[in-house]
Amino acid sequence: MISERIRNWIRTEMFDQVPVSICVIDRDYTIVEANQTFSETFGAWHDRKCFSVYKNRTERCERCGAAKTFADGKSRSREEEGAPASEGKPTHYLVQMVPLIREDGEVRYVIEMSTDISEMKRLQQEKLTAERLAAVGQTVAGLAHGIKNVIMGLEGGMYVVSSGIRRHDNEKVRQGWDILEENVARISSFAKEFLDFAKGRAPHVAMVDPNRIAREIVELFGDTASRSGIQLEADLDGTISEAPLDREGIHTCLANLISNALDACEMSNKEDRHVVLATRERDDTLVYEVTDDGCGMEYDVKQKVFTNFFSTKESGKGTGLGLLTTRKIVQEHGGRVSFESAEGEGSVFRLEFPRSRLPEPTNGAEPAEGN
Amino acid sequence: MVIDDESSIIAYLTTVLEDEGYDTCSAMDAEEAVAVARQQQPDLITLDIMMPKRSGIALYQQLKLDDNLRRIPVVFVSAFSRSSGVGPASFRKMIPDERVPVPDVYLEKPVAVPEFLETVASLIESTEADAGPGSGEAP
Repeated sequence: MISERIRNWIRTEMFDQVPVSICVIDRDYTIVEANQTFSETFGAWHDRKCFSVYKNRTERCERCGAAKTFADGKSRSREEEGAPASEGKPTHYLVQMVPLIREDGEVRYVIEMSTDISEMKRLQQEKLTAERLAAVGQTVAGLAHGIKNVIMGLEGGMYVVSSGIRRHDNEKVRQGWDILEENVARISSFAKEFLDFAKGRAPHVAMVDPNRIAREIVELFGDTASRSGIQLEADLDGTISEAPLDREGIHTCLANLISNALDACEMSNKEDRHVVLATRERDDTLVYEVTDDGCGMEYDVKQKVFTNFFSTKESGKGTGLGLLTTRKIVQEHGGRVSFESAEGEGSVFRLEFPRSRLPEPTNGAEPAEGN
Repeated sequence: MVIDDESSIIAYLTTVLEDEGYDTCSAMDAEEAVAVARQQQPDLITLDIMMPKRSGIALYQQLKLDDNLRRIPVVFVSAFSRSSGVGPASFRKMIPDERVPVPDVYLEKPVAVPEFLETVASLIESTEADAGPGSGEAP
């Protein structure tokens, strides 16, 4: 057994030495106690307001977490950007707020614990950049693939024309000419799509209801689906809160996935065919899922779904850019695309957006937080 | 026999072959291909990989497991580059069935006409030599 004196010494040392900045604030946001790490990180704190010490502000932060904890007595955590460190790089903190509750239930104080996660943030950012570059590389490879098909078409057209001339076969000449025209038109539409893909558009990120985009898409494709005798349904999780998304971008992604799913159903010979667009929230991750019971994909098609762009659809029905565009937009949101597919049974395509990786809204407005 | 989901590729390759004196037939998907191949018994098949419904790889497997069709040499003609992993090694991964032989030849789109014709001629020749004289198949 250790003595009370030793125990107290350990407690004090523990409080001061943990590599986490800890302070206690009262209901006026004045810091009443802090540990040594806090003093070393943020400097003088006695009788100062937390927002002044943390962020050099003269008034309370708009999205103050402590205010919420004072109000509801619940612990919470969030990521915060701190004042720039000496080299001018922003520091990132994971801030946890824990209420100190009196016997009568009043929250008198809140403990704020800030852990420096700047290094983790930096690595996360580097990973995102690397992922984006990899996507660009694959796109270029895919571009080459698409162009090779067109070149073959042009060479074919020229060959058939000259063969027709040699044989004095006007029908052949016309056939070759048609091939040339068709492939020149393909180049034009490719060029347009490539440009759209490369340029993209500046994502406009705003707080939106993820379910609303899903509902719009299901409405948009309702007619197309019913004309083909396919049941298109929405299965939406009503508890999902708003998220900072590029609405038009997500619209494009879901439209691509639904259009693919409908095509997969059309290629299948089954009587009863369904496409379901579902939304879910799992582990602080927003999930869109498009499930179809269409033709599914074979092994070799699955292998190539993202590594090269190609289309298994009839010519004229797709350039193979749909999934690549989808992946690009999803990656711009810090998310990922995955799929499962079984030949003859159908496919599931999934867009996952961890909320912690979602971009900041571009309109500068403070997002409204759900309670 | 030319199998491709693009009519322009079919027109191109059949014209090249006809100019060289071959009789040709064609199909635009796997199902049609099997029917035409059974009926026409071609001396050689050129096969695209990426086609709707069923891919060229799946069709190839079916052809090689069909007693009436397996003797027909197959030339893959596809825009996949060898560096993208279409080769003997990846082929075995796609089709582990050892009864299906690794494809004879793989030509990358756009194909060069002389190389294409040379490949076709040598494959038909070697198949005929394998079959021996008087095996009875009309060209």
